[in-house]
Amino acid sequence: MKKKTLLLIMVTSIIFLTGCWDMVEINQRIFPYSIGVDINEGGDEGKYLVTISYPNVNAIGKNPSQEEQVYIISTTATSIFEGSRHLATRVQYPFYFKHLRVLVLGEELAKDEVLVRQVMDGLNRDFAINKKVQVAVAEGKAKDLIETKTERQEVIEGTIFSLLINDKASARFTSQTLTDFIKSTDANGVALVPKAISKKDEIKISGGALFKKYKFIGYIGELENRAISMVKEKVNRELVETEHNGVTLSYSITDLKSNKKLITTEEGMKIRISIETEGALQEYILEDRPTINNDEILNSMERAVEKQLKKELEKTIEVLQQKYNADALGIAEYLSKFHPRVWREVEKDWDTIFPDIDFEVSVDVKMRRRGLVR
Amino acid sequence: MDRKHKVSNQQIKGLVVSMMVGIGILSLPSVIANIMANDGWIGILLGGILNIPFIIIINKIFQLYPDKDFFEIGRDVLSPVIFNIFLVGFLMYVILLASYVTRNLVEVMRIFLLDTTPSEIIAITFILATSYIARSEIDIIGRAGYHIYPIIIGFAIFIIIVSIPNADFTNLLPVFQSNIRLVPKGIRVSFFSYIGFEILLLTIPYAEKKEKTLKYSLMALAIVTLIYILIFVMALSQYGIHQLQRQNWPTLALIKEIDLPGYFIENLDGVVMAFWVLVIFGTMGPAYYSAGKILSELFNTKTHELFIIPLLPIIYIVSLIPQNLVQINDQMVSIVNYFAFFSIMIMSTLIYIVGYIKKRRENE
Repeated sequence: MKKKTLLLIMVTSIIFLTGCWDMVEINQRIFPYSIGVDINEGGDEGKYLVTISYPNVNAIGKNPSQEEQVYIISTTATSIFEGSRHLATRVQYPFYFKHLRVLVLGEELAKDEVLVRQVMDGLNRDFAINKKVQVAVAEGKAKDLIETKTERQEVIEGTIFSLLINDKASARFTSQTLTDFIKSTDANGVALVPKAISKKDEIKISGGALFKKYKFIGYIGELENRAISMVKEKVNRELVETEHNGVTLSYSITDLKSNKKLITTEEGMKIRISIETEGALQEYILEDRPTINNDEILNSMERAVEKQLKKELEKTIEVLQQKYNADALGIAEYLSKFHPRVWREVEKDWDTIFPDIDFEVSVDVKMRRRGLVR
Repeated sequence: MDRKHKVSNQQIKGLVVSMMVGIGILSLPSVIANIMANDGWIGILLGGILNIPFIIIINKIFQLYPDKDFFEIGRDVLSPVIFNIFLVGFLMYVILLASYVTRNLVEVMRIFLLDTTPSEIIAITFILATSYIARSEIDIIGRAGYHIYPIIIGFAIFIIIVSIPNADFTNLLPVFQSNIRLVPKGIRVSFFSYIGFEILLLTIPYAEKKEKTLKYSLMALAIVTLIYILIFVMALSQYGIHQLQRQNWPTLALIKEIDLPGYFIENLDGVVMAFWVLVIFGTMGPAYYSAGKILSELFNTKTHELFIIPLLPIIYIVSLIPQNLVQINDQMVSIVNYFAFFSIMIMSTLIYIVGYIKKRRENE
């Protein structure tokens, strides 16, 4: 009898000891997937204009009970988190930022170093936020970008996120996470963030925005972004087009290696960047007879691609050195890691030294395959 | 001495590893990176090497007096009065260690897992749970350590493996560039991240094969050193030196960086925290037990079970004294370290030297 009573007490106590101290049902939470931050012009209610978009759980699935798939809501605030508190008074459930995917910075906000630093610190400090949040800069306002309704909408993760992580097929932009952003600024003082453009019902990610010490300094184009990705070995697959014998030649890169080397001369520092690519012929021209059947023609094609890439690289380096004075190629990181003594000497005046560094670019293109036909 | 409890050497190894690895593993990479930058692993390695003599000394004490337990040796060698003073220091140390562990657990829990649960509830439930094991005798403690040991190894291996895909090992460069004058400071920090082997004082008398305990306890130290170095290397290659220096708990924050394809392996902090609580349990349990044992020796009682529950409020109150994380990481740590040095290093060395001289006189 005694044992049975004891057993009964133990069994009933299980019901009350389930350990759900702060239980929140999953459908009573809002999971924002992108957050846009703009500067609040005009209003006095805070420096930021925070826009949050989140999926409508009821509109997903086989028999959706509601039409609107994505909700977008925005407010002015003194910080992102204050903004989310403001918004919490206007939505049914609390926000839960663990699944936040994208941070979009408005162009005007990006130009203010202090504000960007504050946003970055807030996100880096918060424990719920996954540090793999993708960062992007909106040309114009972040609010407009997030509010853009695309035709092919991705409800689960958000359209912008799907676009951003789709950088495997091309090096026209390089996706950048929050940690990458901070790490890159730590190492080089410069970070390169993809640029997002919103048109009527379309979002496009193209090129990048350069940040120097968390301050937006300018945009770079797709080809420049490609050149930087090549130097940083961030190219997965890429198509290079060039003229060869009056015909457009497409060469697809499948493998890429990049090397930096410091050469100290009497005049100063010289950096040699050597890039080796491997790839295949993608498109040439259909001739009546097989044309690509000897070494000479392959070699001359390789030279043509090399010339094209070298031109792009040199142009990009010039833009970075003269126009922006921004070390997006990771030269500072290379020096501090592999030549710490040299780096210690130049570290203080890096900003004045970088534009005058002599670069020597060499590209070695290998065309391994020529497709199915000769 | 009571001889019915037996501890095997494998259990001793597991117990020492599980006692050493605890709070330190979470913050050590960034603490040492703040002092020695990229060369932190040197500090960790030297800290481990510096602990070897003390482990040898503890083992030697019991080779001098094979039939006695630690308290009997201490009372014989040093006079009871002096030994009691040291014991009080030891007691303070284990209570402080237990409180420090509890408070750290609370802070980490509130950050990573239970952000709205009151600190008091987490602290009390944790101390209560450990009080259960602290009431047991040394053989049970040994077995618990033996079972927590694979969890620690698994915890370390898991963190290392999941962070390999994103790691950039060039972040380890440049090596050997830090200021040589900072090395002693780095060693001081890493030296104390190995404390926990003092449980050997209470365990070795009950070892099954005493001639081999030294080998197994040194093996435990080597394993812990290896784990610390590997975790440091992974954290550094994942974060780069600047971002690593910013982190509070780089080892746990590493989990937040994981982004493997196929999203099911994402946001793993909850799972890892659950494992880590077991790791902490492996530190807290033996510390709590030692506190009970020392009290029972001081008051000359038969069992130490009596003192476990009265110790609970003391550990709880001490754990709530620091006002914020900075106080925990600066002041509380250095107090724990001073007491540890006084009670472990100085006491065991003194017992060994005096005991050695006494033994030789007897032989002559």
